[in-house]
Amino acid sequence: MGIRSITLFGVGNALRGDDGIGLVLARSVGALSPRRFTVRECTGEPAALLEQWSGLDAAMLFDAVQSGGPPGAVFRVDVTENPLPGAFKQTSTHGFGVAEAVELSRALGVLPARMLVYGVEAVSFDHGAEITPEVAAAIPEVVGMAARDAANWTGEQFPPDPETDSPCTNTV
Amino acid sequence: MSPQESKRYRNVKVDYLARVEGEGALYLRIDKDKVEEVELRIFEPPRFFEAFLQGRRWTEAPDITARICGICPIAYQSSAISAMESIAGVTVSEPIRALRRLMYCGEWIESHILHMAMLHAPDFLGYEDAIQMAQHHPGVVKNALRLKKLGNDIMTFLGGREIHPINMRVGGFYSVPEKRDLERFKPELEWGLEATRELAQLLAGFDYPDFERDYEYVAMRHPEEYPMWQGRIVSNRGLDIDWPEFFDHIEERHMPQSTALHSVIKERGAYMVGPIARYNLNHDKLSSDARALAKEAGLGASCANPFQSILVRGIETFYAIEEALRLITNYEKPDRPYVEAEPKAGTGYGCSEAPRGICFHRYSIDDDGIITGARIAPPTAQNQATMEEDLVDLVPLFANNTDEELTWKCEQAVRNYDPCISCSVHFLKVHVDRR
Repeated sequence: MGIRSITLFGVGNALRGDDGIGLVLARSVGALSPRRFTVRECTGEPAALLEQWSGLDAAMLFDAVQSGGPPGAVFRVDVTENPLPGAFKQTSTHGFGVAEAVELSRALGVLPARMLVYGVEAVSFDHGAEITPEVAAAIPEVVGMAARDAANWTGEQFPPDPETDSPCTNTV
Repeated sequence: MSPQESKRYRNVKVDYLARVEGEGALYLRIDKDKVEEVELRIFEPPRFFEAFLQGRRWTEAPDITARICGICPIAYQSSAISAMESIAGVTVSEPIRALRRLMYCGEWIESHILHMAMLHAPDFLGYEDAIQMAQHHPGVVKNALRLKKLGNDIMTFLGGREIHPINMRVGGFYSVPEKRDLERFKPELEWGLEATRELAQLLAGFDYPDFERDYEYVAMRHPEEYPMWQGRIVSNRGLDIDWPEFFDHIEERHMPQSTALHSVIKERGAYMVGPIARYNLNHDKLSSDARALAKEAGLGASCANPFQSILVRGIETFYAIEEALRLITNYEKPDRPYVEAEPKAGTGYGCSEAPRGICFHRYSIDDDGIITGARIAPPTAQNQATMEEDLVDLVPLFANNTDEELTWKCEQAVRNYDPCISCSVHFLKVHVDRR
């Protein structure tokens, strides 16, 4: 049987410019199918992330990254196979953030069975700023990529075909 | 790390001192086994909080200064609120006082656990980091994460969110909880007591370097309780002052290598703030169970070994959990969540015991409540001179070790203070010159 439910983690701060891209992406992918996706918005606090994803069958995480690459560049990492690159280690407190939460989960054996992390190269973390146009331009690409990955996991298409999709019965 | 050797010098350079918060560097110049020069170089850009508080409303200071730190926002909020309430002449009710103390317990729990289990314990167990440690001690790490979540949950419940909470204000809280909602924390707190007892027993078994110094300890002291956000500022060498006298005795010096200020006691020099200072000056105010746990862990009524700060943090975490249980048991919902407060021109002072030590604030406001001056002395800046002096005395003990071992020991000595460099403003690289 394919995956029935995927939890989407949006990491970031909506009031800090491009740092909000993770939240926008999680909401956008979640909107494709409220029946299959559960959206969780997080600050990136590692203990909370670890607790929320422990025991999940399938999870996707969306975050802003800083690697020095071109603005809006898209990253996709299957963390069940590979550690997160250094670009995901920039914005943590006391050197402890998303990348460390992933590795700690791996060490403790609580990483979701399937987990993909998507990142978009950020430009500005200014207080109160909007997401920059270069970063916002990456949204369709990441949403499309996540939709295809979700389709591979579930055997369904996203957004669902209205002809075959049954009514939503659960609430989040 | 890139050790290099020459006839006259041995250089050790670490580009990134892990497991501390902020950006800076440590420079040591060593001649045989003697440290000729030591500098904690803080090069993270100044953050100008004191400057941009000017012109803002007096009621904004708690939420603005909370942004200085994601780990200890309650310390900044508490000190700012105390300062503003002292100007307005506000006295809060007992339930509000208790809720603020409960928030502080949450902060101590999450901050102490993060530092003990994730950042400092790997030093003693010989692991690079908590991830490596988790492979060999999964139970310890799982319990630590659960304890940290407990602290975060208390802050989230009372403050709206665990990072930069938004519910505390001048005069009280925007909203206060029902007793029955607070009581749901009790089972997890009961579990936390036992988990912390086990953790303290593990910490007690660590191999601590035989290293003690004759420090001046500075902490708050309250007649009835272990200090968090109320009490005079005292030391073991006769300092005993009320908050307005802070800058009469403490001088902040600008050092060319640092964007943080070095604090010294004018008459005597460097001093230590933080868990060991609190413990030594307030051992009699701990609960009997916490004192018993300390004794069981091998601690006396005072401790002069900075490497044992991790053990003292364990005792303080146990106490914070006990105290949270007591505060919840005794809590009665106040009639009003806050007391109305009106601004008037004046200067106010606030101090509280951040997990890393006293966090001192001074504000001046005008009759309209506009901030005209702000000064903040964060704990890491106050410990900076003491960290340097520790290294001067520590290096000769490890002079025969390899550069790599010496560097690790120096980093560990800095981590004894759980430095929050971005609070004082910072991130560490270590560079050792030996001749």
